[in-house]
Amino acid sequence: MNNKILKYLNQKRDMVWNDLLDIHASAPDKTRVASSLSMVEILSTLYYGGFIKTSKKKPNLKKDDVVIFSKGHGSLAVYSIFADYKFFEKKYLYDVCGNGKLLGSIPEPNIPGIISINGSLGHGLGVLSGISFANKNTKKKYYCFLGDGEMNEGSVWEAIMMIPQLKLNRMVAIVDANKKSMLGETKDIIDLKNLKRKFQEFGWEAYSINGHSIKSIYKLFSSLNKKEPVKPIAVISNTFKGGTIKKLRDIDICHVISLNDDEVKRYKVKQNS
Amino acid sequence: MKQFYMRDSLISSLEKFSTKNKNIYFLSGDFGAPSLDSYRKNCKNFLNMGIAEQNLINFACGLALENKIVFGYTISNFISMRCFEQIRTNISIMSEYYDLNINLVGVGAGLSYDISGPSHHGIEDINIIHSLPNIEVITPCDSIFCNQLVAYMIQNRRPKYIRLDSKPVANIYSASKKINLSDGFSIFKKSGSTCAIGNGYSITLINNFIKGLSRSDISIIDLFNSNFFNEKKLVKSLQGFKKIILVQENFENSGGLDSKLIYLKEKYGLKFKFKSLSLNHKYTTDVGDRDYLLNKNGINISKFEKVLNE
Repeated sequence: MNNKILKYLNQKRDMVWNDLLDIHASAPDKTRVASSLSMVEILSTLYYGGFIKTSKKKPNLKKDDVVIFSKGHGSLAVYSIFADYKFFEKKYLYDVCGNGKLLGSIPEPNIPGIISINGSLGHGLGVLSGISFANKNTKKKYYCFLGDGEMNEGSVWEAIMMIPQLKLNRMVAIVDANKKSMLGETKDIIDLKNLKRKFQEFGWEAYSINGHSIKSIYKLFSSLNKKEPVKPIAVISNTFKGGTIKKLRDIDICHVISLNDDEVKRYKVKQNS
Repeated sequence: MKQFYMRDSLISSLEKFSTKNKNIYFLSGDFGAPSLDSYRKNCKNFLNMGIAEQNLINFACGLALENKIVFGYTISNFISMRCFEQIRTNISIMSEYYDLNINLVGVGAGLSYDISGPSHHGIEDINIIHSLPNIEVITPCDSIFCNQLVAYMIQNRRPKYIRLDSKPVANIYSASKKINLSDGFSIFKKSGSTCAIGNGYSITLINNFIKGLSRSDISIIDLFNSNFFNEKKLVKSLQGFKKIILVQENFENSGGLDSKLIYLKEKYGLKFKFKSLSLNHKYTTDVGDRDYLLNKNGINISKFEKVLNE
């Protein structure tokens, strides 16, 4: 990864981070924010690093990689990316959740680029596996973003067990392991223990990375892109719920904590052009 | 009279389509049938999804999003209630955005799995799925119906839940006559001022009751598609009757055909008296065959005669 790419990815990361805070601040009833903040680096690196291949201006369902944001509440960062891709005008980011507006607090299929209903956890991986199976002979990739809290759902494990059985080797499951669900630390609720090993036992090729490190994300996905997949890929993206915002990171129930306008201003980063 | 399994009729008919149409996918929840052995052998797009109904529904949605024609198949309770929220989200809500041709075929409607006990009795599934928009709920009464239903399932790009009896039943429809599936109901005969209504095995029961009482003055309506029927046409058909007797192998007053008919009666000011032979809103835990369990719930010829004469 050269410095030029790193600089570009950092710029895009900052744009997504700031947009996310703006979305949160301008929504009438404040959207959930902490679970989306943990996804900023991996989403921006995968899209702007060219790993998730998506057409600009208008999604091309035949050609583009398929992405499902199963972690519904925690996927609002993608609004910023889709606005930047010109799927819709950027102004829509500032009226999220408004009456009759395009963008809700959870991405739904009325939004260009969003395929599935994402509010209910444990659905996305199975739906994506059906899409992938129907297109088994194509070269596209199929990405699913899940949360570590979401891994409590039995339906996720039904899909995890079935996908290697069906040899859906172009699937990539990315678990945003931000260590917290709604009421506290995931290890204190249902301890997932060694998630990477669990994926491996069921026949996945699994990796564990620092999900806040653009360099680590870029390095892993670059190496994955260099070879033909022989197994479905699972990536445990180790993050903090709330990202770099200590106020959120330190609170068990940060899932439901909102930031006031001053805090939003303070936590926004200065963007370099 | 010779009896036939509905599932074998449906699957054998489907096999003929599937060998030619590569867009048809059949997902079994590790559930079989003699006809499925042949299907599995001859049709490439057969998948055993294991005992994992939630994933079966989600996977089916993914296939249907790619314009595949999907059949999901297992015991009726498991393909309807075990994965209800998946059906709600990925079939019913998703149908607000996409045309999804997903056909959920459940075996074990009503008390047909009699001796297997309440875990296998399909007595709430119809009521529960009725609550969902965008899904047809079809309860066939015989094998001839199932045979003709397959082409409709393939052509009609809307989700459907099909409830099959697990036991063989004698045919009621005539094989030489085309059933009007788009109306959602059939009138078997129209005579007298009383009409008995049901679907599935209830049509066999109604026929047996009428025959046992030697009554030729009772009309019979098979309301086979209880979530998508031609409402105006059905209302017109009901208008002349003074009494409607519903026979249903599911809970009373819980969203079944009784709710549908009482709703129509009120909405259109229909004058008929309404009587219902339904399962009590209580689980039948007794061990016994179907007739025994129906008797326990007061669904028998004596009760039918009683309400007929009231």
